[in-house]
Amino acid sequence: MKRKDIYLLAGLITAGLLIGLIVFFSGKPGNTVSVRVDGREVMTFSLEKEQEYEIQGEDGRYNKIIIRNGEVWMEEASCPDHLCMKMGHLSKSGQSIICLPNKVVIEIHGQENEVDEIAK
Amino acid sequence: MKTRKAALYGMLTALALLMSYVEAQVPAFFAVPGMKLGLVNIVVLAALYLLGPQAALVISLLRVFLAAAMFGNGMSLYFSAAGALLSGLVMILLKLKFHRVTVSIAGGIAHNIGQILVAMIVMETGMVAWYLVALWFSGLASGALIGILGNELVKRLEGPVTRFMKGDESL
Repeated sequence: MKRKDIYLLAGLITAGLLIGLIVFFSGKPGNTVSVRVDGREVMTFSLEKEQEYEIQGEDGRYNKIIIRNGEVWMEEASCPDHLCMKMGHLSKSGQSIICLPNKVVIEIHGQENEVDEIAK
Repeated sequence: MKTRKAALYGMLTALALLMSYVEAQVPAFFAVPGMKLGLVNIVVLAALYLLGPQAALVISLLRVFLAAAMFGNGMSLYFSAAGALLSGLVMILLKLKFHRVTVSIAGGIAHNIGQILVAMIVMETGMVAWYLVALWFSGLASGALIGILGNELVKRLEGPVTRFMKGDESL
């Protein structure tokens, strides 16, 4: 390891931290939850209202999301790895839960999206 | 000479395939898709230093297609191909000036970033920024671990492989 290696590694760590800071500080509390399957939006919910929703896919695939106390999480899923269930409880705008095997994306949108929803 | 080269390419491709099989057996205990140990990269790193950039890319991409055909699911081919390609190119470029461990770390990050870029396109979402951070640091950590292991491996194999390629019959 030479000095230039150290510089490059320091640069990589700094870049990662910078991305982290940007993502963290651009995270405002969200207020709507959108559910997309295979790229198409199928549902939107308010993050404030308690809700349970089951997404039925082909071949008996399903995902169940729960919205409670301003948080959304994946309660159940038919996918083999259950990664989506391990993504935790989300509440900030821009966060998302992705279930790749079932092509399900749960996204939280912030204030600016509310205007869009009303405009629709 | 040609036969020896073909034998080494074949062996390394088989090893890389084996590594990705082993890794596929590890239960997904990481909370972020795409987070991996990157065992395959030990083989790619060895190929890069023992046989050159061309070998590293060929073996890495062959591994991706074979793994996808044998135990992949639909989308996984695109993710791993993008990751392997970006990581391969970054490592080839950095190899010119940097230490093996540094090369491996940058390759690890590049692999994860390549994957997530394709994920953003496939899932048609720009909201994977959170994963970007997690994958950036997991790539850094696994790249460091793999780099240290790969470095030791290359040190020990450099001599024998050079002699083998020159046609030393005693090996």
